[in-house]
Amino acid sequence: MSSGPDTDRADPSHPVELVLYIGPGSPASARAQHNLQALIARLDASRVDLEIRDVSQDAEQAEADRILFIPTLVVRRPLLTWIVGDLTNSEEVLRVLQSAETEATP
Amino acid sequence: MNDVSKVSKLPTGVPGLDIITHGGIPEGRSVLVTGRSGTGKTILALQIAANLSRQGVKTILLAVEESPEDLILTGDGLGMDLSGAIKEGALRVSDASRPVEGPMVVSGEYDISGLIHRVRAIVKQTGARAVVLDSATALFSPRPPQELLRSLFFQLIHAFRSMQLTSVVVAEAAEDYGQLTTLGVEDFVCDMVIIQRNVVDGERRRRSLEVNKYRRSAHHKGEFPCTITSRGLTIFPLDAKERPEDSEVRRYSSGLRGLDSMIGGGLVRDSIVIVRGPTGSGKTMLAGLYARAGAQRGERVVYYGFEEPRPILLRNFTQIGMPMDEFVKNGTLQVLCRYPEAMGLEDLLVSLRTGLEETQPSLIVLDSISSIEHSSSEKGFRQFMIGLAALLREYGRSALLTQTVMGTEATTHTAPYLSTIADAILALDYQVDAEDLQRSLRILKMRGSAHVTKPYHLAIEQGGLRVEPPAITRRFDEWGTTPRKPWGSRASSSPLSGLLVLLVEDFTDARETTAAALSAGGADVVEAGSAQEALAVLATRTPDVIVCDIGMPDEDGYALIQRVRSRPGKAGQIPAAALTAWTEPEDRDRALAAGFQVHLQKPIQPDVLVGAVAHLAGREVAVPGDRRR
Repeated sequence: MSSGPDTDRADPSHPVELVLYIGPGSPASARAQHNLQALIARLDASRVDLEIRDVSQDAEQAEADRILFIPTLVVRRPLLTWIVGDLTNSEEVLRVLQSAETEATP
Repeated sequence: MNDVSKVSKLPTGVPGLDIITHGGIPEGRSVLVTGRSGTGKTILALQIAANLSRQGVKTILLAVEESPEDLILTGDGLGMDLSGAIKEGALRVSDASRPVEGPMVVSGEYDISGLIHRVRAIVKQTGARAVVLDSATALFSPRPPQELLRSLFFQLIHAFRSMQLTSVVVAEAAEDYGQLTTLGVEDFVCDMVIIQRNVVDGERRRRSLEVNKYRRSAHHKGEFPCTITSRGLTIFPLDAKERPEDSEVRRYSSGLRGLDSMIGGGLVRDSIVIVRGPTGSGKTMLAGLYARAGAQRGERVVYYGFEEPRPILLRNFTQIGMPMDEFVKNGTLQVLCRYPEAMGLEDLLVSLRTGLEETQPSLIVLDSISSIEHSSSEKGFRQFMIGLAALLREYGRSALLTQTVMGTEATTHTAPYLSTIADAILALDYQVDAEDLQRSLRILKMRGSAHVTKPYHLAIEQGGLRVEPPAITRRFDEWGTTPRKPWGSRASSSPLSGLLVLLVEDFTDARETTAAALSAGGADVVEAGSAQEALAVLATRTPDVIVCDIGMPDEDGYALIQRVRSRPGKAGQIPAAALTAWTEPEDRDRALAAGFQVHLQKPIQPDVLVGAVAHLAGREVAVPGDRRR
């Protein structure tokens, strides 16, 4: 049941694969979305696959992804990481994403 | 406080818990289960989850601290069959543990709605009505700042409540006594707080459970002993089930000759009697008489001996003329000797409970509770006694407990809770006067019954103990006004001389003792070991008096006397005394109805027996219960 996020179906053309879990009526979720878009803009957007999921609509996936807190950004590829919070600390998030980026780039 | 009645409760099915919570946990509300690690919080939580789901309350188990697989293993190992409940769809386990596959980073603000939505989805899908979270401590680890933590926990509990879920939340405490939980926020939003403890007391562990808070509901306060067995957690509540008041007081014989008349006709059923006194005051003998009388009535008796090994205890009983072998053999009496030092008090309570369930005894003897006291701490002993009393009340059993105290303490010193537990307290004591050891028995307490208050004389004799009033020139108060010769002096002329007495008694030791007493009174005694043997004797001889036991294998005393009475002429009119330990009023009535003239109680003092036989033969003394007068 709790097999964890599956990385198999990742699209190789997107070395950075992100799933952002948000919730309805959650200011932090809105902030996270906004902050994440800004961060992606600082990267090569074409290399990023972002999926946004509403936990109220997709609880089963949230369970599979072990989501407890909202918002949570699951960095699926290439370095599995859970980033909990509204992503205010953009430098830290960027570091995670860029480390993924550099490792993904030959 | 009309709110109190509004709390709807879910019984947990955890032994003892529903008693101290007056019915269970609050429905639709939150219960916090807290305690140090190793106190059994998870076991309690799993037990509640398993029981609720079995009762038709679909339950969600949120596994945070351990993986679902490990939790299920734990539960199944304790016989909860979580796997079965899951298969039936009664229980749903959801993995709420932190992912270990990668790091978790915190960046900015967040809330707990991820878990809440997951729970909501399961509720929607399964119709779950309860949720068990093990544990909040693990869920909020690493620990967020206090304000955020408080708000997250509140959000979670509030969400459970809004989904009308009954929730049980486990949280870790750092110490047994101190701040309730390490997080320090949970109890404010929970309606009920259960604290589990596992205190090392001297050399022993002492588990306890306390309902620390129960909003809008009464509950039993204080710590209750509990134990973890292969079947999970069991709590021993103080006053268990409040049994419906029995308007009718049922009595049974104490087995101690003379005592029953001091206490209004006998001990009261389902009561706890404490016999206290110094070493050598006759406590064990009294306990033996009590057990023996019960077994002789055909009741099931369990005798827990904590003072000496079983063979020695049984041998001692035999030596003082109250052998137990017959009853041990036929299973009416179980003698279990244990050393309390060798087993924890919780284990002892568990074994007592198991014994109550399996053997279903009506009488229980614990000889002595002092040896239990000496092998534990004061608090541990107190909890044991409270647990024991609860157990006895729950099962509605009568018990006799002996307690060793120093001579002068017998009437004064005792822990107050012991007095509360006991329905009756008998104090044994002795004094050394000029030439003799004077033993005494005093009734300190006899709940719901009139009783004499002055100390009575207690004599140890072959066949046990005997109590009599303290007057110097002792009289047969209940037997009329004929003065009796001072105790111990031999009758000047043999009252039974020239009489032939047929003694029918299947039990060799008792027969020999009784025969000796009759012979000493001057009678010629013919002994018969059964009704058949007696009939054989009667075929050739016509005794002046028959003394007959009632409880005998094959044919009993009732049947025998009926046969005798059916004989024509003088042979059918031989006066007869029933000599028996069956001493209930109905036993007496039945004996008299069957054809006996007198109903005598075992154990009997020799001169009482002689007096009764003499009277039956038409010689001097008055006899109680005599119908021929």
